[in-house]
Amino acid sequence: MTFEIEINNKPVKVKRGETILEVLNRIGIKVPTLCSMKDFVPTGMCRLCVVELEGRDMLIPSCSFKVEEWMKIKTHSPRVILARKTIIELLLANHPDDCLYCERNGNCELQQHAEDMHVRERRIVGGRNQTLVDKSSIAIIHEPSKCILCGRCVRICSEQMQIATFSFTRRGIGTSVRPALDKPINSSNCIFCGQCVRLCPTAALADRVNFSEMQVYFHDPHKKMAVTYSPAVAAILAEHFNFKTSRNINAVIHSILRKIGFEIVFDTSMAADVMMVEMCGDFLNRIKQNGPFPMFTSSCPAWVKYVEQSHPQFIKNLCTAKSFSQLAGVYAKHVITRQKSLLPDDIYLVSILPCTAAKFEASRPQMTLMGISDIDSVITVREFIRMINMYGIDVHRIITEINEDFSTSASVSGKLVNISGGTTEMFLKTLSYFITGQVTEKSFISTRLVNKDIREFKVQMGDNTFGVVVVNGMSSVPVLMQLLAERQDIHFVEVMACNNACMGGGGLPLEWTVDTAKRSMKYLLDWAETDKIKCPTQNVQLKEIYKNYLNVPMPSEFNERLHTYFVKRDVFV
Amino acid sequence: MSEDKLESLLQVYPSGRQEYLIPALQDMQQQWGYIPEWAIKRLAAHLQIPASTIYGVATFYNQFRFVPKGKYHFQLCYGTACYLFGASTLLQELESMLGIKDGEISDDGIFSLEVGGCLGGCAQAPVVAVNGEFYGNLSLSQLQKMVENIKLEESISA
Repeated sequence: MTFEIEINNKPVKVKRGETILEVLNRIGIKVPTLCSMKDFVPTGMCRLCVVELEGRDMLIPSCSFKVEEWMKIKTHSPRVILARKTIIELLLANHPDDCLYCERNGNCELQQHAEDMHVRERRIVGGRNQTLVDKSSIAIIHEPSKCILCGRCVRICSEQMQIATFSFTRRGIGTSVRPALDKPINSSNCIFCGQCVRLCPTAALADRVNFSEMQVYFHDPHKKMAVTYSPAVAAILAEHFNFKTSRNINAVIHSILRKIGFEIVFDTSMAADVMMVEMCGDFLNRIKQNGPFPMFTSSCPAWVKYVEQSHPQFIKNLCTAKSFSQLAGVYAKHVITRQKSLLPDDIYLVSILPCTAAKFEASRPQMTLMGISDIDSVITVREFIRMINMYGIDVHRIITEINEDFSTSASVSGKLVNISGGTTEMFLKTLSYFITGQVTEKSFISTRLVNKDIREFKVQMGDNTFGVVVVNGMSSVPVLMQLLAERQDIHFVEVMACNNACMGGGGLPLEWTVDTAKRSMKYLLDWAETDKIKCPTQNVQLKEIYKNYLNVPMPSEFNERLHTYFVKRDVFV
Repeated sequence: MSEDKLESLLQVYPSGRQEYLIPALQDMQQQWGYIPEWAIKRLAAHLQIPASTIYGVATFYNQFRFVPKGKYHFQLCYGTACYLFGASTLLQELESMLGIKDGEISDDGIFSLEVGGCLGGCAQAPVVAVNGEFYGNLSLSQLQKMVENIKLEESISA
């Protein structure tokens, strides 16, 4: 039902049920906010979105009021602007003020609002926040002194991710956002998904950046710099930089990485094929030993940590095959090095992923064998974009190294593993080959259907019927647990912790939205469609790699380089 | 056993009922004089509330502690009247004599110190309570003597 209200002396058509803020955004009036989050119930905590409502003495927060017929609203009256400016000045009163040296300098929401409100003098002086910086975790740095208590991290963590690492503690001036018992993040129940980092308006929550460590190795004559990136990274950059679809994006990214100084550049597709084969190895073994079922995917490091800490009874259900990103490390250190007559130690491998939890995964002790880590440094897409700027690369004018041959015999799995349902699709295709001996043309699950949070179906393969569940985002994990408690006929479960899987990952550019995620997903799916090799078992190089370099059968029988193990974690949940 | 004690304590509250958080916390505080870490873990599982949320609620209120009380638990009143009568001097002296700060417990478990709001003895300001026993109109030398006596009794060299 629509009716009219008056905004800034002009009549505006509105729908019943809309909030004032939604109306304002729709008709092109920008109202600053710090606490509002799309698809979340408004809290009205930051008060930046206040507007003047005729008939009310007080200003009202537009995010938490629904429109009504009698409303006459002023969005930018002097009183409103003064109120907003004062709020920003109050937030700045105890802020550490080290903008120039801050991780978020230039893309900080607080800084932007202060600029928009034209704050040019320190009118309100308060004591500076002084807190210790929590650098305990390998993925996320927590600096409470920069926190403005907007509550976004608290809400995304508990309401969407179902983890609740953070909570508001204490009260009044002493209020601060902390993990349980003020423990450092590393020993909390954080799964390092990084959603809070993407949402934090300031640098209270930020990535651990590995630049300086990495740059040391660029100048080390004994190390060759190698880098691997997943096709998802290519899709994300294509969307982020608005590449023309006619350009060979792989060639562009290769050239960028070469210009930065990496000698060995490869994408993770080959490793994704190895992962599929090894997952089938584990699954076939489970069939032989009659369980334990269901087998959970373990390619999402955030999900793995969640199982380890919150559902230790399911640790035996996690697939022991390493994730594709870790296997890319194995591939580099044990295959590429031998092809180039190098030792595993001779290369320093950087992995680019849209994921913060991968930093944690790479640091797990299981991922280092005889002193050789699979991956030496993980950087997020966010850091990669910064690196592109640091090395002065104009992505649109870069001259691509067209002589390079990018064709590999890798299958489409590398392009699909970062999409919800993609791992399942490729796993089932590979499994079907191992069980029936034939490559199947049909797809088991539509990877284009991604709006669904949880999907369940049955698959017929030879004499076997397998129950499969695909979960997109941690918000559906309670439903999954309910399902597992009630049912015995589920054999395979794929879980991706972030909504929209890796295309909603914690390491994405800050301005990333659901729409950009959908568009970059389309890139990946389109690429996957044009690819000729649809099943990892059709990958001719793969057999050669197994035979000549890894020296194990295919699938390997729990080879310690290709498989890992999991541990129970004693943390506050 | 403390674990058994906790189980019997939790039995009163039906599992998964979040509204019993504060009564349960009060029971624990009553039982041990503070809320132990392991008990929070168990309580979180029982009431199905994340541990961080429990900690958030518990720190909102002044009544809950997370470190045990010492054999001698000093409460120093920092209310308006006591403050005016020199509570800050007493606090400085206590901190240096006991070697601990507000909310801490000494390594040997003998002393703990808590600085709180008004204890309700404004007429006798400044007030210090030791294990619930009130000492009013306390001068600096009286306080020093009191601590020294305890140290003598516990044969701790001053």
